[in-house]
Amino acid sequence: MTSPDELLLEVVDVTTSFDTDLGRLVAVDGVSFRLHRGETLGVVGESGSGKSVLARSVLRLVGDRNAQVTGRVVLRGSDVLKMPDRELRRLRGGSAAMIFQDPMTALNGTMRIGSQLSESLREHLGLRRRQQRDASIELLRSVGIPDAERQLRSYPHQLSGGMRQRAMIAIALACGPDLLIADEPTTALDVTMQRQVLDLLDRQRAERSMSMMLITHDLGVVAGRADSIMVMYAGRIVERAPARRLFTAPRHPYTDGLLRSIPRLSDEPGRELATIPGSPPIVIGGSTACSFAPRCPRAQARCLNELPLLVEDARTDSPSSSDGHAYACFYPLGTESGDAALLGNRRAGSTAAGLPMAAFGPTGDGVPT
Amino acid sequence: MGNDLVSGALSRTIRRVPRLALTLLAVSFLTFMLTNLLPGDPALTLLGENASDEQIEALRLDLRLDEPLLARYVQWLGDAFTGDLGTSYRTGQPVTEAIVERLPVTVELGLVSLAMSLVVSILLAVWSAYRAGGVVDRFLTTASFGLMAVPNFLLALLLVIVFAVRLGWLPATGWVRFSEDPIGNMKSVILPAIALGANEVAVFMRVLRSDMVTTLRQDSITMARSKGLSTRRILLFHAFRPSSLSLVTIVGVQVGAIIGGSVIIETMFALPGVGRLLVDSIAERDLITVQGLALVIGVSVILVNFLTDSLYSFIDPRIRDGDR
Ligand SMILES: Nc1ncnc2c1ncn2[C@@H]1O[C@H](COP(=O)(O)OP(=O)(O)OP(=O)(O)O)[C@@H](O)[C@H]1O
Ligand SMILES: [Mg+2]
Repeated sequence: MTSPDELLLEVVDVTTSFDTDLGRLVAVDGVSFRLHRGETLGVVGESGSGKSVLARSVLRLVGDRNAQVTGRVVLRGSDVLKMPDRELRRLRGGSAAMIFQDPMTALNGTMRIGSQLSESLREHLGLRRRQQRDASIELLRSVGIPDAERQLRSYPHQLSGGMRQRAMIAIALACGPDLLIADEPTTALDVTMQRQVLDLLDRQRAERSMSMMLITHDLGVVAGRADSIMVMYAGRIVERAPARRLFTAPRHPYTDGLLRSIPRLSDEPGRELATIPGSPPIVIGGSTACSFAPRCPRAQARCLNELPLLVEDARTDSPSSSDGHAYACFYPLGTESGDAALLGNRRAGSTAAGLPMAAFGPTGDGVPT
Repeated sequence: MGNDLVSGALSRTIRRVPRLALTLLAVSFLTFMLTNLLPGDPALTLLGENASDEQIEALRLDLRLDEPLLARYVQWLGDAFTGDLGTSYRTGQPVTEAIVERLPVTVELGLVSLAMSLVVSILLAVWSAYRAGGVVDRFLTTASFGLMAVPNFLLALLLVIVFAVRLGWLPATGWVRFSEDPIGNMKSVILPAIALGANEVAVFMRVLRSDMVTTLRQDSITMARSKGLSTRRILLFHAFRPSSLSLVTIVGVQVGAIIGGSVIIETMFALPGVGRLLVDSIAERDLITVQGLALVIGVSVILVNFLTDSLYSFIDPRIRDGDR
C-alpha cells in the first residue's frame, strides 16, 4: 500500500482571498503542487507571502467569515475543501496534523500537556484512559522529552522553549498523521535548538513514512532537508524545483535574491549579505503584472503589464512535468533574454519599474560586473 | 515547577491573606467612624431632636463618648467579632438579629440573580464570539447596549406589569420562605432576580465576548481545530476557560452593584431583605443599624472579591506559578 511513489496530496489551483476594507485581498493565488508519501516539500517566502494561509487552506482551517477558498485539495483521494464536516474532523489530527511557530501561543496554557495529548488520542483512536496514558508517555519519549511521565502533568509554561516545541510535535503526531504541516516550526528557537528540532522532525518523518510541508522564510532551513522546494511571493508560486536544482540553478530573480541572503561559511569575512530592496506587496483584486517587478533587477516593461505564468524549465532533465523545475518569470537567470534584460537595466542605471540599480549593491543583482 | 494545582493555588491565596486583613481593618474603621464623623453630638443625632436630657446622657454613657476614639473603636471591633453590632435605638432589636433574619432573602436573591445572569451571558457570549460579526452577534451587541441603559427599577416595573398584572403568572410583591413552600419561594424570587440581573447579563456578555473573540483568533485555537476536536470541546476547553479571567474579575466587582441594586429591588418587590432593612433604617435615621449593615456589606464585598481573585490561579496555571 505504501509504495514510495504514492501520491498523498494534490493541491490544484487553490486561491484564498479575504474581503477587506481595501477590497478582495488575495493571500494565496492559484497554487498547485503535489506531495508524495514520505517526501518533504519546503515552502519558502518572505513574511506576508501567504505561506500560513496556504497551510491553513490545505486543512480548511481558514475559518474567517470574510474568507473564500477555491480550488481542490485532494488528500488520499478525497477533496478536503468539499468533504462533510464529520469526515473533515476525522482527517484533521488523524491523517493530517499541523505545528506552529510558537508553542507558547499554539498550546493551550490552561491545560496540562497530558490532557492535550490524550484529547486527540481519545477523539481519533478511541483509546481508554490507561491506554491514553501509556501512548502519551511513549509519544513524549519518542520526541526526546526526558522524564515523560512527570511532564504529562506539566503545563506548557513549565517547560523550556525547546521542550515545549517537542511537546507540540508529540501532540501533532499523536494519531500518526500521513501529512504534517510545519509552519515555521523553528523560527522562535535559537540555532542549536533549531537544528535539533529539524532533525527530530526529519527522523519522525522517515520513521513514520510521513509527508511533510516544511514552511519557512529561511532557505537555509530547508537546505538538505526538503526533497523539493516551492518559493512563494505575494501569494503565488514563483519557482518550484527539486531542492538541489533550486540551490544550484535558480531561475527566478526572487529565488536568486533569497539565496544570496543566506550567510555561508565559505563567505570571506566582511562580505555584505545581499538584501532584496523593498518589501512584498499586498495583492488586492487580482494580479495583472509580476508582483516582484518593483523589486527586481531585471524588470522590463513587459513585467509591469503582463502576469508571468508558471512554466516548465526547458532544460529540465526529468520528464515528469508536474514535479520538475518550473518558474514564473519572463527574464529568468541563465537565459539570454534574462541576461540581456539585466545588462540593459544596468546600462540604463535603473529598472523598468524605476528602481535604481544601485539599490541592489555590488553583487545583489545576480551577475558579476 | 510542576506545582500541584491545589497546593499552588492555596499558597498563592494564603500569601494574600495579610492584605485582606488590612483591607478589612480599614473598612471596619471607616464604618466605625460613620457615627463619629457626623456633625454635632452623636447621641443627639441618634436619638433625634425630641429626646430628653436624661435619655441623651444615658446614651452618651452607653456609647462611652467620653473615652478616646481609638479605645472605643477597639471595643466596637471586639464586639463586632463576637457578633454584637449593638442594639437599635429605634426598634430595640439587636442589629445582628435584624440582619440575620433578613440575610437569607438577600443572599438567595443575589445568588439566583447572579446564577441566571451568568448562565445566560456565557451562552450568549460564546455564541456571539463563535459567530463574531454575524447577525446574532450584531443583534446581541446592540441589545446589550440597550439593556445596560435600562435602569433596573424600570425593568422591575415592566416585569411586574407583564408577568404579574397582565398574565398573573407570578406574584407582584412579597416573599415566601423556601422552608414554607419551595415552589412559592421560586415564584417570589424570579421576577426580582431577573430585574436585578438583567444589567449584569449585558456587562458579563460584553466582557466575555470580547475576550473570547481575541482567544478564538489565536494559534491555540487553530491548533485545537487542526487536531480535529469537536466545536463544543474547542469552545469550552480551548476558548472559554482561557477567556474567563476578566469575567471572574467583573463578577467580583459587580457583586457590589448587585447588593446596591437589591436595595431598590427589595423595596419595589416588598422583599424582607437586607436592602430593605437598609432603606428603612436610613429613613428612620437608625444609625446603629446602618452602621452594622455597612460593616456586613463591606466585609462581604471584600471577601467575595478575595475569593474571585483566588479563582484566577485555578483557571490559569501561569498565575499560580507567578509567571504573570
Ligand atoms: N483573516 C485575514 N483577513 C485578512 N487578511 C488576512 C487574513 N489572514 C491573513 N491575511 C493576509 O494574508 C497575507 C498572507 O498572510 P500569511 O500569514 O499567510 O503570511 P506568511 O507568509 O505566513 O507570513 P509570516 O512569515 O509573517 O508568517 C497577509 O497579507 C495577511 O495580511
Ligand atoms: Mg506565517
